[in-house]
Amino acid sequence: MKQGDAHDNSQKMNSGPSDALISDVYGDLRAIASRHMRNERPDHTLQPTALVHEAFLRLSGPDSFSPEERNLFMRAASLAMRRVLVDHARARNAAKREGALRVTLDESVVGAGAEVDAIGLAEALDRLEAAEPRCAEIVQLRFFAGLEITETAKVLGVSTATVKRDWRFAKAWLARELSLSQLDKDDA
Amino acid sequence: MMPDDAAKLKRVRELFDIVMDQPPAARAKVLDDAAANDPQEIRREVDELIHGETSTDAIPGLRAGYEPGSLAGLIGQRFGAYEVVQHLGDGGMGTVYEAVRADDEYRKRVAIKLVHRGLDSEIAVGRFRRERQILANLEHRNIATLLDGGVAADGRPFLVMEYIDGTPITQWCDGKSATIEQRLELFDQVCGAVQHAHRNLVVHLDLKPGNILVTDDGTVKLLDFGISHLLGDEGADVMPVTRGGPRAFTPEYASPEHIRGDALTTASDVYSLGVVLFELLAGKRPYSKPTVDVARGLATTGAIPRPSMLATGEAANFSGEKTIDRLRARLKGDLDSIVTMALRPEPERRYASVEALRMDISRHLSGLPVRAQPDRATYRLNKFMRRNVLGLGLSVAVLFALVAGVISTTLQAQRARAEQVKAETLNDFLKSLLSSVRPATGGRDVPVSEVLDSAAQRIDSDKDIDPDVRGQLETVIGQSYLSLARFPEAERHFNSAESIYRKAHGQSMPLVLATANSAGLYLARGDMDSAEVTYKRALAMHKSLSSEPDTLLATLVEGLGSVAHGRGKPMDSERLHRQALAIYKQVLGSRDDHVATAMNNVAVALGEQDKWSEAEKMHRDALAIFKLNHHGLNTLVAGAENSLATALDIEGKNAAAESTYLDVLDMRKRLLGPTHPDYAFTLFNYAMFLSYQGRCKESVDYSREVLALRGTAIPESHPSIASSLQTVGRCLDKLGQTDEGGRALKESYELRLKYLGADSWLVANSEGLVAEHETSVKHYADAERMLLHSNGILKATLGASNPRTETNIKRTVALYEAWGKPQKAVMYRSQLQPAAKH
Repeated sequence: MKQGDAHDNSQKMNSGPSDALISDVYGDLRAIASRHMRNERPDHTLQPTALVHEAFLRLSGPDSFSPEERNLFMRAASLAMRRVLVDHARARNAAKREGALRVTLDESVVGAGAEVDAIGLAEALDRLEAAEPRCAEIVQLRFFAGLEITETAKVLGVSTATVKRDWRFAKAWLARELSLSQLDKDDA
Repeated sequence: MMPDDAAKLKRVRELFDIVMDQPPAARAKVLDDAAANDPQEIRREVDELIHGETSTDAIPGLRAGYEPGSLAGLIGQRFGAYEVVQHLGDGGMGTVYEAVRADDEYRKRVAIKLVHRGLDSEIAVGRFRRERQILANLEHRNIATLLDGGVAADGRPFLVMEYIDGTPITQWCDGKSATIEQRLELFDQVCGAVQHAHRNLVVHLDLKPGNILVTDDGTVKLLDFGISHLLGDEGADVMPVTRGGPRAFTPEYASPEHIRGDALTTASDVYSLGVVLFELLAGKRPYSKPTVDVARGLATTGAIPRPSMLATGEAANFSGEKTIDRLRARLKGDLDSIVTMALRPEPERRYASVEALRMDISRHLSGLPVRAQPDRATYRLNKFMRRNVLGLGLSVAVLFALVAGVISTTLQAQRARAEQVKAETLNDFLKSLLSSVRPATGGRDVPVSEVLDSAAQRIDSDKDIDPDVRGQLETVIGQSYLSLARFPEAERHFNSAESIYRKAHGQSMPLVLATANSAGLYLARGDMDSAEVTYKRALAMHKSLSSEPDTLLATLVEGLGSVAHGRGKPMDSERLHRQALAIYKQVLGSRDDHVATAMNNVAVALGEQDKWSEAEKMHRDALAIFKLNHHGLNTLVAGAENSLATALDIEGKNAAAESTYLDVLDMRKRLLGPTHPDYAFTLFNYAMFLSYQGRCKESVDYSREVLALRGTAIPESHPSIASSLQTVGRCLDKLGQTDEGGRALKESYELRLKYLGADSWLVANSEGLVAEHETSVKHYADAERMLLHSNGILKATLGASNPRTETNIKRTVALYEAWGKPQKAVMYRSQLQPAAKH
């Protein structure tokens, strides 16, 4: 390992959600998402934050989660959401005629209700995860669960400064990856 | 992902942090020092990341290389990956250059369009970038791809596009002496591309031959998609609708509303397509002067020129029709009607979509009567219907419409101008609501319900809202609550919508629709009595208002059919669904999706009456329609085929069932992927089918594929998991792998016990199966205990003479016979009905 790994280990994250929780949430999100897709015309985008919160509502009912459980839920849900988006995008891409699935990102996170290609985003996140897993999870939490910096820090059990630093990089890197993804496709 | 890439990315991150911690002025120097020993590409990436963070340039090289005002200076200049080769021309909007993508491996030609007019605000730049991304995703073989774009340091946007070597469509056709049929076929390609863009909520707004090129091999390529909008005014922040302000367009092809500066929609593209088609057919445009006249005066006189009237001798020559009279005769009738329908001054009276225009052309080409109607006043009725459709569209849009679907609802709404204002009010309302709610700010609060609750409060307190808008909002909110299964709130809002419409219009179609929504809620809640009463009330009102059938009427009858289904009255359900089917057919024609869905409902009702061959036929008819409408590979088609496969399976048409199952599996795998629950459920059905055929080995393989999704795509609690385990267990037993078979059966039993509770007959049946297994491996005492227990439950839940109870008693008889206790065997055998004793 190179010297650059220091910042990765400077703070240990809370341990993550169990596979069982993730797959529970995944099932729920998938159901919600496909209901939305069924009810809607094909020319639609997904608004992941809304889906996650709907899932939260359905899973929990009001007031039944402790703060620790809520943290775990948010981590599970944002990861599950990532999978749901990829699944939907793949299904739609397989159908071709309906066009690529776009995701509307939360305004409070990226500014202006930006839309990105779901598969492009997922692939970029995979690349980021391989090198900077915490960055990837922060992106996941912010994009898909709509968490703010302080909440993200709480959920992961790291300091706000760490989240901010990771976020600064992740944002710049993703912006570049996503605006370049169209060119890459063209190369292929 | 190669580990190398990860290591590289880590290094990029490290350098990025180091550099970004410095003040901006010092960053370049710090990067030079820190990255002194790193490869050039890492340095470059960090540099680009930092620029992305700090500037609005998509391609940092541009800012460095471009000097405003010196166009010649651009030749040979590199912008990021592109190198400008030559100046191609100047257009109304900007200057176009040919450039090449100069990578290590190849040189790809592109066109770079540098726009004259600068974008003056941060907001405009932000929107430009966002829209550019949307356009970049607009992939279609007939649309020139937008590859990239950015904003230069002086604020001028530039776009990088696929370079097209082609000729404008009109010139191409004349040059090749294309026949009318060939021209129509080419025009169909154009429509296909525009239709694709509309589906993606992108409008072109500057369609003209100069933007519709045809390459040597006869492929159409549309240029400048959505660019007029991209560079449009501030008014169009989110919607794909531009209004007011200066816009780039070509008056000869622009719609009246475009010239007037009104709201623009997909209908505006339909108009421009109409002008292009006119020119392709007649050899000249409908109006010699720009259509300002049309915008101002012609709307009242209604004199739309017909292609046959204006056709030129030259056109006759080019299209191989020999004489002008022959060309005129060819154009008269269908083609005149089609073109004039596209050219109607009022957007809402044109073809409702490019798809409709396209369908009419293909109907003409295949000799079917076209839908285009002579200009008549009956459109008012249609308009009223559209209003109701809008209401329906909103109601099914549920929560999703509140949050993200606003755009498409608006697009739908654009068709009727009067409705548009209301739709905009609605959108503004929804948008302001959404921006007032921040997700997850309050720790435990739940924004979905918060949005709804605050929406509910707002419409209560805002007295200025138009009753129709208010009614629609109540409906949307009601539907959203319904989707959250919050029935009391949903009911309150649906009732409120009803009373708003009652007050505003009295007995009216909107009130019928609102009543139907309430009825739908009762149906969803399982309250069949209220649903029936309410549907009947809506039906009576509908009958008093109109003697004409419409889709709303069909919806009501369909609702009553579902009530009958819910009550377990398949004969009534069949009758009502058949009525709904007839109405849908009459109103929508015989190949609408609604028609196919109604057929499926009928088929299900038939199946419940064990009329499997009729059900099969109906399923096949429904399937044929879905296939027509959706060109084969589609989830609706797969769903209909799945129902058909089940019908064939139960009917015992094994070969047909099998090939249909395989078809569905193939389709679902391609559409949804091999880990999708819908795919898994078909797989499950197929595995069951195989096990009944005695094809144990295959059945086990497929069941295991289903079981592999346990806990991911399919929750462990889903019945298909326990059932698949059961299938695996029974098949393995038969194959002599009794250890493994027994384990699967026991697991299936335990799962059912866990999720269904001890009193379920399904659990008892599983227990009986385990007992059967225990008998086969000579664990007689265990088998006995389980059989006595499961017999008790089966008798209590299903009754002593139920076939499943009898099957279990037979298992008991078999146990005692194997165990050498013939008296007990005889005793149990005597409990069986005479017919079941062997």
